Amino acid sequence: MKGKLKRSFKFFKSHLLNRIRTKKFIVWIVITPIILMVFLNMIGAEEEVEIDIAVIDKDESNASNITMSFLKSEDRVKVHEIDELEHGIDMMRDGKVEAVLEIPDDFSEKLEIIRSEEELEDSLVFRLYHVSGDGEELLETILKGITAEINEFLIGEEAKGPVSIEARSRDIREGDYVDLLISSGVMITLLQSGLFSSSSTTSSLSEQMIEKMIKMSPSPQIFSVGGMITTDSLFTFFSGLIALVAGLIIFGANPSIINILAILPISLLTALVFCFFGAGIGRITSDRIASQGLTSMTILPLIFLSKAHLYPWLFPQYITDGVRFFPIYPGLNMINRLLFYSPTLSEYLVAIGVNLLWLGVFLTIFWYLYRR
Amino acid sequence: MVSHLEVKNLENHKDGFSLQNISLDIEEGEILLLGGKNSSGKTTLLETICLIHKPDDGRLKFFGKKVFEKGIKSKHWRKVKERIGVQFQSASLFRNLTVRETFELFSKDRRLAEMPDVVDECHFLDNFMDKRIAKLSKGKVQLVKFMLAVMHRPDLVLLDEPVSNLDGNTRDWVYKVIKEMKSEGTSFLITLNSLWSIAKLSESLMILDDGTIYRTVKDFYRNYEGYTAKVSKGSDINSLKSENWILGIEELNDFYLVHSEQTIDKMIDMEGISILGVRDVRLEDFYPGGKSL
Repeated sequence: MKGKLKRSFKFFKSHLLNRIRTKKFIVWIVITPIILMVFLNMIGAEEEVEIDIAVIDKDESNASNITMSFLKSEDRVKVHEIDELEHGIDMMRDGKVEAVLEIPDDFSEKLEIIRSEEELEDSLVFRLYHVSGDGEELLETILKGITAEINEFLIGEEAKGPVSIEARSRDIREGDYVDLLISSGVMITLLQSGLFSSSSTTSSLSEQMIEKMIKMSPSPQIFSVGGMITTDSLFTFFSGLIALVAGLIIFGANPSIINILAILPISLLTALVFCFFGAGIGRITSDRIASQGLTSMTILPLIFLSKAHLYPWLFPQYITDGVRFFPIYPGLNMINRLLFYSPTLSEYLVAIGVNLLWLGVFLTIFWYLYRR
Repeated sequence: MVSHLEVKNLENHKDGFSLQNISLDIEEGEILLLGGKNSSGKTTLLETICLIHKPDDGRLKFFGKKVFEKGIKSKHWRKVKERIGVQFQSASLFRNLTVRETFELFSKDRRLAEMPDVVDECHFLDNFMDKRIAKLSKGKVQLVKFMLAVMHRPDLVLLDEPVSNLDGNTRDWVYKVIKEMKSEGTSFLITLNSLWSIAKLSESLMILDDGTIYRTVKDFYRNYEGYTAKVSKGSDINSLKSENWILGIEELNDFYLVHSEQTIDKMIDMEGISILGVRDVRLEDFYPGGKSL
């Protein structure tokens, strides 16, 4: 076994040289993740520019009209006036608005009591229904400004805060969209680099018939080709690292060193999973163009469905639950959590375990395809 | 004599092409040439013998050991592979490796510690060792592939049109290497699309046609330096049939094709024989139909 591995290592080395000497490949694995992160950052930045809020004015008074004008004068807010809360929730579900603000029907009445300096029995509360995590910080900033304006202009006592906003999170999404952009960028890089490079390796072996030379080699081809795919995994991992570093710089994220170090094994494991996945695609198609087509068709649904957990109303429940077991999900979720939250060790180990399981699945398929 | 390769009733039906009922035997130090028109199945046969394509039926024995029978590959195959060398016509090499790195890669694969002797002996690659495979001419790549097939001094070598892109001098060097290895007991199966000097060393020529064996010419080396004469239909062809220097006579529509050894003098002096034309032996002379002078 040791001898076989040693002899197969030379294919690993040869493939490494073969790859390094292909300038386009090097440009692809270095430049593509940076461009991707810049692009995602642009999307993220655009998300922050403007936020759509549905507002229900239940009071319909001068005071509520003034409050509405405060909201409308805010550059980062686009106000949609509606009549029913349910309508606002539907709009939120459809992704048309990020939050629904309810101006209570006792707003002007309570405002009078506050202004007359009488004792207010209940506090004056604006209810805000919003998507958990989604643009939460921006919403908070905007609404703090609005309440400050209400306090200052309608009550005349800035920052004393008799008017407050009670945020009622609608637990529709689980992650922060903007935060997800970094982990998505890393995962898309690992996914496309891994699938494309390894499917191109195995399909080229068939297409250029190098496979015949490998088949006649005394070393088992499963080790020889396996060595090449491992080489591709390392390049993919490297490309993912570039995406991560670019993401941290461009988005200005600042996770702890330990969390960054914890991302490395999961990224490497994910790179191996996608590379052996791609190797199977390349082997089955045995044609570079067909393998690229099939790879593209695999990448898009994987990325799309990995977001299924974010938009459960778009999918049946079994899909929402099922995508959690997709090979892209554990890495995506764990990198996100390591960047912005503090996952527990058991959560981390589960993510590693699911990835190992997937690696086992794709290695078995790889073995089946190259067993002869 | 030890049999190096024994093929019995080999069948392979794939991708709309069939190899049918192929049997052949190559003994130690023997060279078997495999000829035939384009798409007659030469490459498919060679690759099926190497188990690149799994045969549908038949038996394969290498060095007396059963390697394939009744659809099952035996465990001997891995050991057998170490004793054979193959040059594929269609297989590429790693384009971005240099010639030196390519030899190093396959030397290690064959457990050869250093650069093999055949590389040191070949001066046609002296200035190309540090060039990438992608930058080499077709002929040079073919030479590298030939050297990869023989560098570990195998007992059986299978070569698929090994010299089709080589110039005369390189061809002579390849001939010299094969001759040397044959004298040491190495056997060869070589496909050809035209005759070259290797025919001088060969024991037999097997012609394939549409996936089956059309004919096998024993002692083919006798043919190589002979000639082919076009003899008119009115000639006394029976008088030729009894001569031992006549290798073969084929009757075509308007004339006979007479394959003869080495000299034409004897035929010129024969009565009742009208010679219409003469030329060197060609591989095509042994194909079904398609002969011309």
